[in-house]
Amino acid sequence: MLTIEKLVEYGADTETGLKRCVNSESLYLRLVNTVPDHKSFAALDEAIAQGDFEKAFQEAHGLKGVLTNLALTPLSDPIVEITDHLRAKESMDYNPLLDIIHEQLEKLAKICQD
Amino acid sequence: MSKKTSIINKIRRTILIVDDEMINQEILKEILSDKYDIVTAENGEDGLKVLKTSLTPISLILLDINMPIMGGLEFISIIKEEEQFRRIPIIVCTSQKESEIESLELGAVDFIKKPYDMPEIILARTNRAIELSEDQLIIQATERDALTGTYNKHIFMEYVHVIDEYNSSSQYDMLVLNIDKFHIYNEIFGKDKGDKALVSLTEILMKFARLNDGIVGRLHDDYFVLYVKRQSNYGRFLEWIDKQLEFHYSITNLLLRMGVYQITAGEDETVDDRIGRAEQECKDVVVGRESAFRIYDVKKHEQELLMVQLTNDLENAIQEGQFEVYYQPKINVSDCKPRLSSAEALIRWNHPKLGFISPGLFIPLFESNGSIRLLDEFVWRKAANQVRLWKEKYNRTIPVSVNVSRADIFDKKIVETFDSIISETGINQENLQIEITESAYNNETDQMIQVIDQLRSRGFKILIDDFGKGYSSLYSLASFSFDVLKLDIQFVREMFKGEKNRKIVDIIAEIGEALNVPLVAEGVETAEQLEALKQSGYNIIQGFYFSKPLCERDFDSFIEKGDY
Repeated sequence: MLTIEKLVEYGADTETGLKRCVNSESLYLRLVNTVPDHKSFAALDEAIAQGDFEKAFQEAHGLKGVLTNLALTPLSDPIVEITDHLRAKESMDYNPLLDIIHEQLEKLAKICQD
Repeated sequence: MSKKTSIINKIRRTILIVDDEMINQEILKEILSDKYDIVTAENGEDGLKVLKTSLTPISLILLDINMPIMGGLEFISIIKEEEQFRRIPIIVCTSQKESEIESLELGAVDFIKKPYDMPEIILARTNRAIELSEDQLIIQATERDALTGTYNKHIFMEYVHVIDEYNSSSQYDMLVLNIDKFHIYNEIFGKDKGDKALVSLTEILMKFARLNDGIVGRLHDDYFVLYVKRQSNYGRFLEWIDKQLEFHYSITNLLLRMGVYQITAGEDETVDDRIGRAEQECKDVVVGRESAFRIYDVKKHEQELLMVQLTNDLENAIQEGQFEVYYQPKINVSDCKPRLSSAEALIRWNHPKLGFISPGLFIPLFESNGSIRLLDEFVWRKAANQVRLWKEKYNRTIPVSVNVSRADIFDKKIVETFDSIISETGINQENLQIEITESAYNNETDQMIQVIDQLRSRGFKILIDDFGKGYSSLYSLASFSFDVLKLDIQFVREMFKGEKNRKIVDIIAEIGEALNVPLVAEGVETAEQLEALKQSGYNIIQGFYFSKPLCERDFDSFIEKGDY
């Protein structure tokens, strides 16, 4: 079961995240629990793979809003970074950033499942 | 806490959150749901559906910018075009700086930065946006006229103050515009069309006001008020309105009239006074007979104020003895030696503040407003009493003629009043002669005939005054019984100005002779006039040649001197 302690250990700024949820621990944990299944992660991968940077930006931007709101820093930091690159429509290799994102996402999924 | 705030707090409002991210929706819900009901939508298109189907009115929209299907900016631009939704305040939730600016330009009232700040701040900004918007709606509902959307009078006046405060370079005028006989337009074309005409006229007036840095308000009914930069030609302005009505609205049958009050620098008139004056000028316009607009004239206004003051002062003036009756001798010149035959009672007003006031000013005024009755009766009593006093003092009977105005004739108690004067003074009826100006005979002849007959049957003598002045002189001779004919003063003044004038004087004399009534000529000032009138057959002469009007004491001296 997901707990605040596990999220602290994961690296989330739970204090800020909780504050945004009006200090409702149950809401905060419920919302964090939905993150690993968020459809935008897969959509982001696909858009980048297809070179649709506009679509990729939309997906990344959406994730950025959600993850920063929940203050899931290890995941939101690379998302913020990739969003900035996509906004600037930079031609670069996005895979290293996507790898970090997936790594952090898997970590989060694991603590959610445990 | 103000009363308004407490009422607002009791009503639970609904907020629409439009965001494709469930997590963001949930966080906002958590922050706001204690105080507000929340409905959600996943994108702009979905948001529009919710707006259109929501059973409760939406008090605020919290809007994400980046959403699939329809984004936030497109959503704003659509609802700002929809009359029923465009006043709903929108707070944009975004992390993009450029979207903030764009959304504010499109009409969003505020923005909340993502990631969300402290929940208390979000709640406070939401509360504030709703409160401001509702205040604005309340202001709009109260300051605007429901039909035309123009300002109501109160708010219009407030804005006039604002214009005055910030404008020092341009001259402004207050205009009141009205549709002449609009009730008939409504009756003929129906109220709906009437309302439509009012709205069309308003649109034109607003356009004009915009072009002339001014404002428009609706005073009441079909009365509009404008405060605009001074125009050089108001006739052209009315023509322009007519053309606009015809060209844009196919309205050709509205008759407009307008009053203008021109603001002068340094004046201390209140805004309400300025509107009142423009409105009065507007009401004084007689459409079809003169120009369709009138410009307020200060001198005319001062004259009107004087008239009001005189009317108010009348009753006190009588009680305080400000009025004095003067008597102008009438001299019988039929014999070799002219002799005093009678006198005419004339009123003088010595006002404590205004000094001597000409009867030419106050008599027409009191005749027009009906208060002449009070003054006339005062003169009748004084004159009758004077006849008695002369009889007692000099043992001479000097009849006095008094003026009876048209308004007096229609007083049902006039005959009764003369009866009581006779019984109070004990004089003979024939010594209180009654002068009725010829123009009074023009209308209401039945009543006139009745009163004259009643007075004559009691023994009062009736003089037709100012004979020849009116257009119905001969008609009045045929219709009324009378005892003396008094030639209008103008014929005497102008009798040597041409052969025609002299002939008319002769003809009137012949009429008198033919009807066997004595003839009086007044305004006689020279020996030449006297001789000519005598030759024509005017035996009773009144005028400065013999004597000016005299106060009681001087008339006593006149008698005592014994010249006539």
